[in-house]
Amino acid sequence: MSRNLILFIILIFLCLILTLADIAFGSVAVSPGNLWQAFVHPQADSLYTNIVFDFRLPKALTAILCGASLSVAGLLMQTLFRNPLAGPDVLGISSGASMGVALYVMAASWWSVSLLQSSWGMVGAAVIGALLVLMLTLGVATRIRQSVTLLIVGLMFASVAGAVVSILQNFSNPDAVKLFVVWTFGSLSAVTWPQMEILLPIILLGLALAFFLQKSLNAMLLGDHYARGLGIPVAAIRVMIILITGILAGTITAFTGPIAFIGVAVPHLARGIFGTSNHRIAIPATILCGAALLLLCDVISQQTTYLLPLNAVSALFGAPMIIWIVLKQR
Amino acid sequence: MKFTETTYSPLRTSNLAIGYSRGSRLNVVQQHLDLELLSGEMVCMIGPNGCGKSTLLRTLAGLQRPITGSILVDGKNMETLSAQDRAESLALTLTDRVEVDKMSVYEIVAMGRYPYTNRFGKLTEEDRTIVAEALAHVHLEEKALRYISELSDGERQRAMIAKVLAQSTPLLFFDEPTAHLDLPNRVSIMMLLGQLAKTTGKSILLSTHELELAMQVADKLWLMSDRGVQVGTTDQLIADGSFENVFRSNQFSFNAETGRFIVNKPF
Repeated sequence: MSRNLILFIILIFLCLILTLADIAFGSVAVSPGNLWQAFVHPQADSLYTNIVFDFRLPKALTAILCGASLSVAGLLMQTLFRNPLAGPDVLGISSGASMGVALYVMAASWWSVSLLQSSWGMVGAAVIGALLVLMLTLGVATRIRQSVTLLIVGLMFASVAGAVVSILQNFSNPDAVKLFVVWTFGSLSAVTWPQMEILLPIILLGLALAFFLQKSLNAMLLGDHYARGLGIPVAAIRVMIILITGILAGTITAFTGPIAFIGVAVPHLARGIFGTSNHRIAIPATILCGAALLLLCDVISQQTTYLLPLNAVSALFGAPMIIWIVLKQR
Repeated sequence: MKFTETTYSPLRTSNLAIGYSRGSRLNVVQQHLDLELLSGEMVCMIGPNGCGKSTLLRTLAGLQRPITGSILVDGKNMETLSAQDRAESLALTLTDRVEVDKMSVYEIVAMGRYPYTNRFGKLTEEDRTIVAEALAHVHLEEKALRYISELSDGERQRAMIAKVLAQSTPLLFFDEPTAHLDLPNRVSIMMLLGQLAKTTGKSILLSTHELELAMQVADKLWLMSDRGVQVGTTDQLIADGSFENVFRSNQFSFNAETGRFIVNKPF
């Protein structure tokens, strides 16, 4: 059995165990017996059945989708820009989503519109914001050939979106600011089953598309000229990569808020563990590592009575781990 | 194996002008070029910096468009070729240094098969044979499973040559394949390319600043300067005084009898 296969099996098991742990541990602990009960003999009026099915399970599933999609988005960006520091937010997509939510939450408070605080409103605003920036970036991408220029433009879009958010915050009432700031902490628990019916297929579509690009992605690692020499339609592939990143990062950010760090770090983790940049291995490896890492972060974040901000946990516990792995490889 | 048919030319240009257009400004580097490459020959492009060696190579490779004129690849106009057809006709290495972390030599060389593999880049038995042959040609079988980032500069260049070979094209282009290499590696890379042209019947075109080396190993030289491109064997270009004209300088002189460049009395 090849080393890669063993590693994949271990990672899949790790994800399963972490999923169970994520469901079992929390403000209300679910014992293994109750967990078994909830899965095998679900009863509509049972407390544990409700906790497991209405809260913990969608949350664990969101953690898996979020970890996988942000990490793959990061991998795509690192390959496109051939830059190890690139992440899903370099194109300004997360900033666009933030801007959308900020406008929705805070601008509405100026005109004292009675705000419909449904989660769909936030999601819609984030999607529109992310799409707006994505369209701008795509427009630029079809015009410029140099990836580095695109990187700079993306960062500038992010800065503009950030500036708009700052101005909005400055003029908004404290309640609206608090609402926005809580959104920026990142949370996996906001996704309900009806939302999952939309989130799940979109993310699976994005991941599948990334899978189909693996050959072109490998060629892109050599640089644009070499990729063209190998018959890869670089301009079209670049647009595809940006589009897939937009789908993955934009959608998940809309539902969970911006979750930093995972997207930049996990591709390094996955390539380090499997010892290859070949996307045939790196894409599935990144999906599994991303899912496992975010599940772990979520398990940790719910150990306290008040949930810790996921964004903080992912960086606090993930960063030292990545530093260790990166240094160990040298 | 020796290819005796020399009349076949996989690449031909007619009235080609190359250069850059930036906005409305047109910068023509070379024009009125009628060049051809024959199968089984190694052509070295030489000439001072800025004479358009890289531009010509990139244009012939289809990486940038000619300003006027046409390039015929196997009788078909380059402009009409799809990216796929182009990748099956010509393969090239560039001066862009390939900085890929965690990719084995084998994986890089196998990328040469990309024009022929399926969407997922799955290698068939035939692909594997071709990759193994390419690695054998450049004597890198032993290092096939090493990361390309662990290789020396000379080995890395040989790996890139293997990748180009694996692409199974009649035309091979190399932009300064001996740059950054020490003397033994420069000689061995040039000898390797010369041998490949002979044994595989492919046409090899390379640009280089290694004048004396090129003069000794090339089947033909394209001597480029601001006055155009002169084509000929080393002996022909020495005899008609082209070398002396192109590389005229008050700091060194070309000795036609020995075929060497001599630095004028230093200081």
